[in-house]
Amino acid sequence: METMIKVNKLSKKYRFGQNQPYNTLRDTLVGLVHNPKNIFGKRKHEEGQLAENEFWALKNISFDVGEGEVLGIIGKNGAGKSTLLKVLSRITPPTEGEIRLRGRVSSLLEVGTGFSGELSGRENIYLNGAILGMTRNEIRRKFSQIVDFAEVGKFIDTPVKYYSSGMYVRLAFAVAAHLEPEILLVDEVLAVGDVGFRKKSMGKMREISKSSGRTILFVSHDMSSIQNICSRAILLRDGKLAYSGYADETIKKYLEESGGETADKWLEWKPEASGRYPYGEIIKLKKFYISDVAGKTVKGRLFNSKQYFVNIDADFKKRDSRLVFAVAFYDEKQTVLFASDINDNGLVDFGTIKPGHIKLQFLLPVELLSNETYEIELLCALHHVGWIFPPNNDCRLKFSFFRDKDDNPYSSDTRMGLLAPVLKWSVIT
Amino acid sequence: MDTKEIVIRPKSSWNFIDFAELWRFRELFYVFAWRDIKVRYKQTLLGILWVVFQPLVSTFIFTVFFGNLAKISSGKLPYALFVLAGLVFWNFFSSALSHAATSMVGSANIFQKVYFPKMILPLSAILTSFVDFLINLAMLLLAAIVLGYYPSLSALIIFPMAVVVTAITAAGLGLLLTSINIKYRDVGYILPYFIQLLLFLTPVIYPITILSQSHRFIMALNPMTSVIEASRTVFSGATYDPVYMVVSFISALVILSVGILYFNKTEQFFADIV
Repeated sequence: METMIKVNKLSKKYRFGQNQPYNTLRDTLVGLVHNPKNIFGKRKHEEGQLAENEFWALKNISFDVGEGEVLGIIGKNGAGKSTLLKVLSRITPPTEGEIRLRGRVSSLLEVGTGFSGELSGRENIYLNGAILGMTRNEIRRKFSQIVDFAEVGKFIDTPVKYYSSGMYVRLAFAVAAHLEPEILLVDEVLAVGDVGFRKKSMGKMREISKSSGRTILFVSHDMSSIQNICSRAILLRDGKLAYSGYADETIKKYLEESGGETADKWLEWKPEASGRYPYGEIIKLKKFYISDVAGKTVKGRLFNSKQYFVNIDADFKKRDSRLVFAVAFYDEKQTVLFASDINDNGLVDFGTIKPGHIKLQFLLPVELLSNETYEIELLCALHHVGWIFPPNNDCRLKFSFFRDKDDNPYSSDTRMGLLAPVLKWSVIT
Repeated sequence: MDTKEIVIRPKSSWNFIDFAELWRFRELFYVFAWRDIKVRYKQTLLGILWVVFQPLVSTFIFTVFFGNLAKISSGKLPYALFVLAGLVFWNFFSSALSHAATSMVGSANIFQKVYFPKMILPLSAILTSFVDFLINLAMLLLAAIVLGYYPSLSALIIFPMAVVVTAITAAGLGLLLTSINIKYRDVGYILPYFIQLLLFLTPVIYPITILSQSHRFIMALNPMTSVIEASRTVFSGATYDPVYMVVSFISALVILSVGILYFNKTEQFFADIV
């Protein structure tokens, strides 16, 4: 396999407050009086050195991309993903290092670059196509395909300022999708349009990469798109290359570190010290949490390749047959997905259980969950008497889930719905 | 399709034009110009007629005030034709310059997202103005013939040269100003006054003959001086000293070089600082 992109020790320096310190002419003239050598602007610092108001947006990045490979670039906001694409697409120069690209490069950092509202759809196809690097003949050849793909039909001669935003985006993407460079750089432009069109665009991306052997670099926050179309991925952290490997592994690395900060507190619930709950003489809740199978608390995101317990630790003070526990699973929009109570496998009678510290647990049904964020609510009551934790209480766990293991080659982004149970299919002939 | 290897490195600051690169993106020149022309007069009532009205109205006003009232001498030509000839070239220059100078800031959303040789933007702005100029030139020829001043054959040499010198000068100043405008938007505010000032430093409403010999030499450092004076000889049959023409031409080339050098030096940071 031929190396199409070779990035060698690439670094890019920016200044703080830039986009950039907005000097007026007066400021510079004043500055010139103090230091006349500055007449042509920036003072150069020693290589590799930072002045106090500078920072490395990219530092010492090296990687190769082979022909026909689709490389995902992931990382948090500000990790340097977009800067990397901008340097690769020659929009901004590197400070150090070198990039070698073999072949024609097109970058899609947004859709509809240069679109002019006054011009018709037809005119904008020619304009945008030319800006993206297509020749007029090429555009003419693909014109009808572009119009078909965009589904703008009879509006093709209407100025695009009268288009609905959906039509506008479809037209813009359609032009981009018909580019034929050897190397394509894409920045999250797929996050546009309605669900149907997104699917269509993703399909197009996959088609481009698989059928034509095009080399693609793809930046996205949407892990399922990355997983879907990328064979390899690199993870950027604070401008440095943190990990490089198969897409699945890189995604996992990223999710583990990104889920960490905000989500951890949601994986464990403890009653407030001042909180008073009914029937405290019978049962007192200590802790509601998710652990791995060894009982260790987990951090960050959960994956379907692993097993987890959902645990309830409590002080059971007095035998009572009426005590019942249940959980309800919610999606992010607070729709109840399903519920389960402790008697699912037959009656559990708290009248026969010895009082003391108890732990209730069940296995999280990982095979049921999709790439979503879920909440688990604990419900507890004395049957026919009263609630200890009624529905819509705040005793909840919240976690993001990711299917990192999937036997379906078309995998997760095409799967609709809030749950992803795997059904037993058979073909009968 | 060329599979030439592209190497991206930190750029050295002083370089001249990469003609091969400009040639590869040649279609963008007229695509941008075509867009500007298309967009410019959409949603106007009179559309392209504005190109015709502008010099006619100016000619009328100048003729009334400077020709009839101030009685500025216009040599062998009637003042109206004299000033129209000046204005046609002057308008080409001033519109090319002001479009070129604002071209980069105006298209920031494009060059921040897609790579192409940025110089194409100011240069295609000049192409746009050139289209207007052709219409005005046709108007001028028509007016001259109507008034009985048939253009001499020297027009075939003088007009193309005048166009080239005007374009070179506007390109040079435009490249310089558009680079500065990226960082200092002050340029956008100063520009109209600057152009107005230049109008009075150029023999548009007065003939160069009202100046002494030595002053004429200094005036020739302004390339537009020779462009306009030489163009009038096409109708008046007078002569214009070629020495001044050479001075103007060299001056235009110097302006262009400074513009290109400064543009190329700063161009790589446009996307970061605009």
